[in-house]
Amino acid sequence: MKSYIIKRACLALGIIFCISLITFFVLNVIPGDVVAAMLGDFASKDAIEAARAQMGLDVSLPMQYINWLKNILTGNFGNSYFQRKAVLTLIVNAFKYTFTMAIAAYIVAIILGLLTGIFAALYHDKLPDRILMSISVFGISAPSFWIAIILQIVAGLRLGWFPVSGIKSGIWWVLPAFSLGIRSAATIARVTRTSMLEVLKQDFIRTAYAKGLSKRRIIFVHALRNALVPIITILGNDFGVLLTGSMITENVFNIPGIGKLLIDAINRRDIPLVQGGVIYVAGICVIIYFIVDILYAVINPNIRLGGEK
Amino acid sequence: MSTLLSIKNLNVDIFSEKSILPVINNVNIDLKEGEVLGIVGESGCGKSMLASAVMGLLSPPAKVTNGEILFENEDLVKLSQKELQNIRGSKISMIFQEPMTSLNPLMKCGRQIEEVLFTHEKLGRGELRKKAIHAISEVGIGRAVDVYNDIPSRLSGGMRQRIMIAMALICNPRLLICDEPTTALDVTIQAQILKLIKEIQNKKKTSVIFISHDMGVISKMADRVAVMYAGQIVEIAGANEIFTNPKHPYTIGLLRAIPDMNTGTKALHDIRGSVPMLDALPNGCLFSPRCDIAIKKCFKERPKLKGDKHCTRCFVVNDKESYE
Repeated sequence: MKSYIIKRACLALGIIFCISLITFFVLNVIPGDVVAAMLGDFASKDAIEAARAQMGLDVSLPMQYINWLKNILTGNFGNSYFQRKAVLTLIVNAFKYTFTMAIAAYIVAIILGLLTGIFAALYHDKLPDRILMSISVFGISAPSFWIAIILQIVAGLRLGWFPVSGIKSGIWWVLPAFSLGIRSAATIARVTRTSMLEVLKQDFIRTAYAKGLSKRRIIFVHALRNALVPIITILGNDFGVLLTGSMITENVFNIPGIGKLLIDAINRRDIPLVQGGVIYVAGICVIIYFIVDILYAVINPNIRLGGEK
Repeated sequence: MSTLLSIKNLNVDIFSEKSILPVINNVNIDLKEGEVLGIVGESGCGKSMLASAVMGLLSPPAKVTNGEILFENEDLVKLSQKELQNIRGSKISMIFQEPMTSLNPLMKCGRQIEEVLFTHEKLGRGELRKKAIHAISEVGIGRAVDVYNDIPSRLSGGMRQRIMIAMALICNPRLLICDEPTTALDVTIQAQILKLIKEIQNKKKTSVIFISHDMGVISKMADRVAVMYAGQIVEIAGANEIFTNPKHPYTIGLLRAIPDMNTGTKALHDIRGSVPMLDALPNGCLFSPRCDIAIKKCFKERPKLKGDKHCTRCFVVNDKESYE
């Protein structure tokens, strides 16, 4: 198990390094002079040169990369060109919102998805299964901004159950969480159903029945744990998607999250902020996938044994 | 000895969209306490279906449509799933054909054995562990504590089948159903497992229904043998009687099909044709299309199982006997 974790950790570090490399160079080959843009049309050539030197842009590109990497390792992501604040502070502040929303959506997705999937599998090919699976197709295909708007109109305005826009306390998260989580819930439900059906056909389920176990125990202890193996992968993927892909939802609900921050930064060519943001998000994703890999091995001992053989 | 299990006029049908397929057709079996009944027949004869019916494990579209399965004078067919749960694993246990896939791949072997005890006897944690380890060593596994902590994929097929046996026997069931328990194993391992089942059966006086397609295996295990063909019992008699004096042409065919190392001939015997499809059963005797001694009557009418201790379902055999 230890060697498995070390192997995975090395892989994760390598991935972060590659991402930093790609982000840095791609952003730097985008045409246009940032310094000139910052200082405006009437800046003198000298002023531009001076600003360039001050920002560390007067050395060669690889050198810039190495300097940038060094700074990152000491926790210094540089300053935003336009907001004149430390990139890290901006990101961490915005990330708090995004992370809370992702977690809330994730909880909605897991609970709703697993329960629906298990339920549909138990009523395989009967009416409840058909209805739930039709709803899930709808959930997968409906765009999240549309779901968000419908939720705002119905649950927010018509019924008045939940606040519609902005974040003040826990209850304000309900609509964003659902509009972001429903799509994942639908995917999870479909995979859970397929996976459960597959597992319920296995011989060891028959053995479990022959042992006189209750149906509940067979489903939740024997079948679900085996069915979870493919589901965990999706869960990991989905959390990454929820974390990074929440820009539209953030916009609809007016939440100052990382999606909003990054889009603004890209529009304004605020390169340090974009670079920092991408590295930050990539880092979070890699860490999540790392955890998923470990969980995978915890749930399925065959994997970690396979790694050691 | 008193009768433990009595199957009376049992019919099991599979309901498909187009038709109703009779998988088990009017089967009658009595099993005494401590007796080993061998059920033999080719694949698709309904042997495993019979076992599932006794366990109450038939799943739709298969269903018991007629008859009784009396176990300790209680009709299992009439019991609810809840009541069956209490019997399965404690009073009636089963060992399956595929040891490789019959254990939960993600659960420690020990836990899987404990689970049975916990479900039926509600013991404490330490007690469970002690009994499970004892059960593992009882089925001839040396490093019981290690195996207790192993997941099934670390064990060989033979070891897994031993775990299955430990699991089946931990609550001291009165009836053990073995559904081709050694078919998937090497011949040497097969001998060990058969010996183990026999030993435990002798020690605990468990009644056993032993299902196999292998006459050789049946001859080592059974006190009495029922030969099944296309969902019917075609011959049933004491094991000695069946092997020394087989009457039904199907039984004779099965016995001839065992390769003999002593005669020196290289010829392999088979029974021509194959088991009929359930949706295309012949009108007369179910075995008639493959039978060498069939007479006209065999193609028109279905024979009944006749006889006292040695029963046969065959016009030719029964007519000859009544004539004599």
